[in-house]
Formats: sequence, C-alpha cells, structure tokens
Amino acid sequence: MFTKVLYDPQALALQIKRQKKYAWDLEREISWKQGVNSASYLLPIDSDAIAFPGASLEQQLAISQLLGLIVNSTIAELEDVTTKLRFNCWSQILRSYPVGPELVELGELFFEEEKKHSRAFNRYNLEFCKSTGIDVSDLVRLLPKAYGSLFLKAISQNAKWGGHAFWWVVAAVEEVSIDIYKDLSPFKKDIDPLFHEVHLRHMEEESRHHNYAFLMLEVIRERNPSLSDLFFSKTDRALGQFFSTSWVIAELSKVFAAKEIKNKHPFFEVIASCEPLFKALGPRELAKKLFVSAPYISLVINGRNHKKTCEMAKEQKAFSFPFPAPTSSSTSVKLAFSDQEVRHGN
Amino acid sequence: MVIETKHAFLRNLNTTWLEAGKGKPQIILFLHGYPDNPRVWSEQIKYFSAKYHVVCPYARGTFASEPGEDLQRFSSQSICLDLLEILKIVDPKNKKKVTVVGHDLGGAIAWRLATYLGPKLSQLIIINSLSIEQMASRLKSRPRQWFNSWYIFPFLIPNVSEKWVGKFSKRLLPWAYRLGGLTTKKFPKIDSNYPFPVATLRQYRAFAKEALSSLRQPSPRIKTPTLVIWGNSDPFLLAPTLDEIEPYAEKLTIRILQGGHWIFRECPEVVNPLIENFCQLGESHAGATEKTF
Repeated sequence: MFTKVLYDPQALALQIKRQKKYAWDLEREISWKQGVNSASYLLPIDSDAIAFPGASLEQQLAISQLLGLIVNSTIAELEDVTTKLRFNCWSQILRSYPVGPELVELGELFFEEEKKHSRAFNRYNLEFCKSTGIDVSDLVRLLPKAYGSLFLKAISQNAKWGGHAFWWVVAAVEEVSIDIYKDLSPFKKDIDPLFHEVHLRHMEEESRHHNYAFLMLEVIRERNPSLSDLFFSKTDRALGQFFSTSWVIAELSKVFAAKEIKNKHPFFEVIASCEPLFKALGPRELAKKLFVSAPYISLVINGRNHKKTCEMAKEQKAFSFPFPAPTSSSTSVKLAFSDQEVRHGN
Repeated sequence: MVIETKHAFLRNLNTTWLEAGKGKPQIILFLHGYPDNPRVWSEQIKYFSAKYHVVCPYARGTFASEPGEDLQRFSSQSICLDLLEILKIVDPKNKKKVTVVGHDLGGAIAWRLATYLGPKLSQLIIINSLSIEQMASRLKSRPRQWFNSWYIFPFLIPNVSEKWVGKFSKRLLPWAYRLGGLTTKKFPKIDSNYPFPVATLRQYRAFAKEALSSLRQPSPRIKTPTLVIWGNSDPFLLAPTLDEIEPYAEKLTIRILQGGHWIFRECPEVVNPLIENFCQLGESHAGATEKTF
C-alpha cells in the first residue's frame, strides 16, 4: 500500500516540505480568545444519545459535551503516549532498517505534531472548564488517562519484546481522528466554534501526516524478519485492538464517577442523572450499541471501522479481532436550538 | 563523451582502467564487484563524466589487469596500493579530491581505501556492499546472512571453484544478474571475446583471510561523509542496520531503495542524482540519522 512512497525520497521530501509549510501554531492560529460557548453541543449525537435512550434536552446537551471532552482527552492521551514509546517503537525500528533521512525527519515532525495536538485538545478541555466554571481536577476524574494504564503497559511490553502493536494502534487513531472530523463537520455552524476549530486544525495536520504510521508498518514488514518478527506481524494488530478497546471501555466507565461529584457542579449533576437511562439497557443491547452503532464510540472501539488499517492488515495478513459489522446512525444537534433553554454552569 | 582505456605497469603487474571527463576538478573513482567489469558503471560514466574526472579500474584478474601469482595481491591492502598508484597517474599534481564509489567487493575495497586516502577523500559512497569487518561481524550476529552468502563458500576452495566457474562462465553472469534483480535490458554489455574473470575469485579467499584478523583489529572510523545506498531486495546481502555501519563512519547517511543488488544499473535515474546531491551537499546530508538518534 505504501511501499512505493517508503522508497521514494522525493515524495517523502515533498511531504516534509508540505508539513512544515502548513504547520499551525498552537497559540497564534487557534482563536482561544473566543472561549467555549457552554450552551453549545460539542459533538452531534444520535437519537439514543449514544447509550442513554430517552435523555432529556438538558441531558443530551451534557452528554454531547462530555462525549466531546472524552474524545478530546482520548486523542490527547493516545497522541501523548506516542512520544513516550518513541525509543522502542520508532528509533529502534529505524535503526534496524534505516530507509533514509527523510523518514527520520518525517518521524521527528510526526512526534512534534502529535505532542502539539495533545496539548491543543487538553487546552480545549481547560477552556471548557474555564467557561463553565468546572474545576479541572473534577472533570479529569471522568476523562480517560493512558499513563499507568494496563493498555500502556501492554503496548510498552510488546514493543520491548520486539512487537509493533503500537503502530497498529497509532494507525487506527490517526484514521479515527480524521473520521471524527468528517462526522462533525456538517454541523460546524451548530456546534461550539472553538471545538470545531480545534478539530479542523487537528484534521488538517492529521491528513498530511496520517500515512506515517502506515509507513512504519511497511518498514517493519520490509526489514529482514526474525522468527519473533514473523510471529508479531501476525498477532500485533489483534493485540493492539484488544488492549486499546478494553482501555477505552474501561475509561468510559469513569463517567459513572459523576455521581460522586454531582454536588460540585450542575454539569456533573446532569451527567449523574443519566446513569439510570444507561442502566436501562441490557448488557447485550449495550454491547451492541457501543460496538455497532454508537457514534464516535463504535468508531473508536470497533476495528472494522478503520478501513485503511483493515486494508493494511489484509495486505500484511495480520490477524484482527473479530468485531461485529458496524452500522452508521444519523446524528444531530437540532435539539440544542429548540425553544427549551438548556444551560450549564455560569 | 570520450572513454579511454588506460594501461600501466603497476607494482610489477599490468593494470587497466577506464577514464572519462579528464580535466575536471574532482575525481570520482568507481570500483566494481564480482563478476563485473567497469562497463557495469556505464550509466554512471555517462552521467558523471560531464562534471567529474571519472576513473573505473578493472579488478585484479579482470580483462587486462593481471592477477599475479601471489594471493597477497588480492588482499584489500594490496588492491588499495594499486589504486593509489592509479590515482598518482591520473592526477600527477595530486590536487584533485576523490569521491570513492564501490559496489559489492568493490565496496569492501572502497571502505579500506577510504582509510588510506585521508583528507584527499571527499566522499565515500557504498552500494550494496559491506566492508570486510562488517561482513565478518554480520556473519557472527545475523545467521541469515550465511544462507544469502552460500555462493561464497565454494569460491573459497582453490582450483575446484576456478574449474567450475570457468566451465559455466557463459551462463553464470546472466544468471547472477537475473538473480540480482536486473532485467535483460539492463544487463551490462557482455563482450563475447571478453574472458570471464575466473582469477578474480581469489579476492574472496584473500578477503576471507583478512576477515578473521579484522575481528580482532577493527578499522578506524571514517570521518568523511559516507553514503550507503542499498537495493532492498538484494538476494546476496541483507539490508544493513545502523548499528552495523555506524561504528565505521562518523557522518553516515543510509538510503534503502526499491531494487536489487545492482540498484545503480536498475534505476540510475534515482541513484545518480542521489550520488550527485551527496557529493554537493555531503556535509549537510550526512549526519541526518546521527542527529536523531
């Protein structure tokens, strides 16, 4: 899929030039001053409000906002993790198969941009807290954290043993983050403008560098494989899917911590009030919803949504986790603009 | 473009080389491998003779470059002394800087020559080749190389290998080219009157002897910008790792390209500009990998 590009120094040099030319500055090129419109949706949601069927208008707005913050935090965490695993998962691989200086420079840019994106999403979540009056330390309790997680430990260990599950996870994250923007862009006038801007900026750079993870997967395939490499090349994708999916599901369950802090802010109170709606779904129905049709969540946790990564896995004959076939569901934000006034915070 | 065939009696043996672009300020010395001859560089001679003084020696035992009786004449040190003599003849004022480009066994000699040339060396460019030390340590650390180098072991048996190689010489060269990834169209011109370089096989024996001692006494690290170009699907040599080459070159750039053992013949349109750019921007290109890691 990417073999030709991998060995084409001119194409890689052109990509470096393009990435450098169009790189944006976190402080200057995102209008942080406009702040967050706390009455706006962040992500359009479906008629079942993801997994909270029957949610009221106020609850739907809170769910949309919390989901937006979770998506931000998930991408931020995963992109931040890439820098932590840089030595085992990148330097070591390129030392074992040094394709050329361009691939090294592209890698440098990739890690720099990932770090910047992570900071941008965290900064948005902070801005959200500022405009709603939520204490950051309270919000963080509901958001995903990769550091110290079993997921990170498993991926690091896999890399230390010579595996490459990391790049399968990165390839999927890159693909998902572009797809998330595609899903929210039709609603750009109806959602929070700053949220849209951050995701737009992110998508721009992602689409310029999203091939890097695939290039690294090509490098891994192209280098002279040892027996363990052959084993890992078959199992790594499934392993990456298993650990990242379990991590996301485990981290999503943090939203139930909202009831412990419901007195600290009305936002948490509304979120806590959604719990019975969620529990009304049976475990089978819930699993089906999350993996098959829940917008954003199924996009992240269901590997069959990651089309390019699937194509690559097919090409490399790598095993994949047997996820159910996803279905698309229509999303909307129209409820936020109905006659009923929905407010959070100040 | 005029390509001259030059002969000289050097260190008691007749020695031959091709020369083009005489009068240009910098020498580019192309060293071929086995079982090639300097015509393998035809695309490079055409490209570089416009700007460089191109010199392509015949390896000992190839065409009119006499093999000599002593195996010692095939050692890398002895071959380097011959090459220094050639350089003295082509640049009598000793003013021109030299870029050395080596492929296959010629690459092994290029690594050695780089340590002899000192400040006269401008750039070292290696194409699908390892130095004797690198090959020795690779055979120790990467067992798969033994399988890829299977053909070397019969070459180490004196007389028998010469007899068999001589017998199949007409089929051997096209077979090797095809195995190395060249299509018939890209084969170097094979002159039917041209004798197959059977005697040059002794280079393998001389190098094998050196390999044993090189493990005890590795060569010094080259300070000159070094570019290693590698065709990714070389059936004879596994692609290098940075750890294998870095101890021998301080300012190193490695480029792995899509192609086989004779990558410079397979896609000269890619390789020639890479060499040229490296010669012009050697310093800034080199070290790109080093900075990062």
